Amino acid sequence: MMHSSGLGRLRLVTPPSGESQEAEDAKLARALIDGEARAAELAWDRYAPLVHGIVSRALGPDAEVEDVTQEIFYRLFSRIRSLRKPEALRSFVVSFAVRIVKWELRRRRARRWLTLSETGEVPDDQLLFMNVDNRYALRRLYSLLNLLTTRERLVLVLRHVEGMTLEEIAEAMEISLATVKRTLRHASTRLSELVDADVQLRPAGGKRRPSK
Amino acid sequence: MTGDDRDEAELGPRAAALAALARRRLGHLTPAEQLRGREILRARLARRRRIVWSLTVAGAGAAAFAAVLLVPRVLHRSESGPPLAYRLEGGTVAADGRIEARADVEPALRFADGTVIALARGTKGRLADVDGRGAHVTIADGTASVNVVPKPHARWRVDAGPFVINVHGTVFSAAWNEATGRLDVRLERGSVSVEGPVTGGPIAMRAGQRLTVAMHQSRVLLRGIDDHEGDLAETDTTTAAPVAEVAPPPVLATAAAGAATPLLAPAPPTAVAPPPAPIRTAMRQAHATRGWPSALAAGDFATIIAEAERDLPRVLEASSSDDLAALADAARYRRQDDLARRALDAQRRRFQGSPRAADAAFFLGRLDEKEGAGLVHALRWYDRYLNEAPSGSYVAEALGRKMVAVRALYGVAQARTVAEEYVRRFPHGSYAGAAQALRDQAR
Repeated sequence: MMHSSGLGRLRLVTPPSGESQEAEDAKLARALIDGEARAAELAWDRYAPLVHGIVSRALGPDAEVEDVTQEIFYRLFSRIRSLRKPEALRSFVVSFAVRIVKWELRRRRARRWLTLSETGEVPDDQLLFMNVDNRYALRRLYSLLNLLTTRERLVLVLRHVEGMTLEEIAEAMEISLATVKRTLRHASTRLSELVDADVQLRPAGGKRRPSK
Repeated sequence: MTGDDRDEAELGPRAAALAALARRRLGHLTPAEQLRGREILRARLARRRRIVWSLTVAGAGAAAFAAVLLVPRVLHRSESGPPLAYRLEGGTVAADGRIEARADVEPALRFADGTVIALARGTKGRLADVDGRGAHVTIADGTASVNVVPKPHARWRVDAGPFVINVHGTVFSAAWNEATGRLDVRLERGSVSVEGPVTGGPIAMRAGQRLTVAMHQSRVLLRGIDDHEGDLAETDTTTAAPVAEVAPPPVLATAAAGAATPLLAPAPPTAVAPPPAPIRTAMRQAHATRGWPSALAAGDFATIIAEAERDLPRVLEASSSDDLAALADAARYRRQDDLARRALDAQRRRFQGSPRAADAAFFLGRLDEKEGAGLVHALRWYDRYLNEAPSGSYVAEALGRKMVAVRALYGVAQARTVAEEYVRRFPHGSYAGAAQALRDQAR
């Protein structure tokens, strides 16, 4: 059994290589602000995996993950001049991505699309390569996440799936640390209860129940 | 984890296991996806720069432009929002939407989201409608080359004569000849569905396919984009159909692409609506009895895979080349890459020297590329394919992928030679823009 406390945490705000990474980020940020030719591509190369991961894990298996990732970068470059500290480019990118994902989740909620896709169908795009048990388990997980509020869902995913620290989440979501803790506590409890109560998931979690 | 991270908000064991599964299984961007995304982003940004430049020029001398300029708004979500900005290069848009090209010019509609619809010289086209999600263009006679930038909720439509082409993010060309009643659609990338007289419902096309409809002869032909085998002659008036009992192309199903055996079928003279469910079931059963290529054409991938998996070793050792190709395609479409790889390996081993074995090299390259760390292997497969099938169906694609792989592995300077070859051989290919950019960058 796996508890989230055993997860390796990603360091999103403070990069592992410390100052040199920040210096590189600052250089890249200035190049982006100055509109240098290859800066956008370099930014994509450096941060696309990170942003794609956040989008994919927050939205769930979704055919639009690639589109949303593209949209984040496209809009990010328009707003790059609002970056106050060039050395904090990484945090800026993460905050921006989280903000767009939050809008996307709210947009879907507002339209009462509470299932995994906007059409109400569960998209299989990212799931086809998995075995059927894992596929089913992930579908259920994201169905249950749809029952949480947008903030609860994001905080929970960023913490327990993406592996961010509480401070990083607070910074990315532009809320206080206390709010993050309170939201996370409530969301974790709620999701755990939902999963435990879900009769369609076997106790091992990730095992599919025979279809009806 | 640091002490500061303690939140006393742990998940229960089952929820934690699910979260771990999501972390392992979701969100991993493959190098191929990253490369593709970078190319798309670069193209979008370049177009935005061009649009900004155009708007500046237009602001300085708007009267000099006959093109229509609207407020640029790229981030459109609904058709009730402001319509997409666009401009027409090489002509003007009349009040009724007719596209009037200047003499000896091929006009191109450029939209704010990066989508480009270019008309061949002499094409009669009309911009019927533009809204926040896309546009509707009609071709009365002639050819349009379409490059739609994929976006959520986008809605693009091209009418070619009486045929309707519903477009998602895609690159294709559509030619409609009013005099002969002939439609020709070549799909390089993405997906479209084509519907109209004699199609028997929407025909879903996938990348690398070419669809020809000879309306007057009630003929429909769907095959690989460079496959000229079984082409419908412009003057063909015969009604003979070699595959008499095969229905029109599958209804809302992805048909066989690049199949060596072209799907040539007579279409019912008035078939517009899709056949009812019992007929579709009968079609599937008929496909099953005729073999996997037919099942593939019907989009019945699951049947092919299920049948193959009943005795996979025997299938791999004893099946025909056609069946192995169909199995590989079905497995690729269902993302069962291991199965696809085994079928492709068998194809190469057992039918060495055949065109299908060469095609298998290309597909093995795509699989290696998709799997991330296999760019070096992918490059070898593309080279093998280009050597074995110098004029094969996938040469343009293989050369384009090779260019991308060389650039990623060895840098711009090394990739320049490949880019130059690509531009020389496929100046209008789907990688032409990237190749030109790379060539310029290397200078």
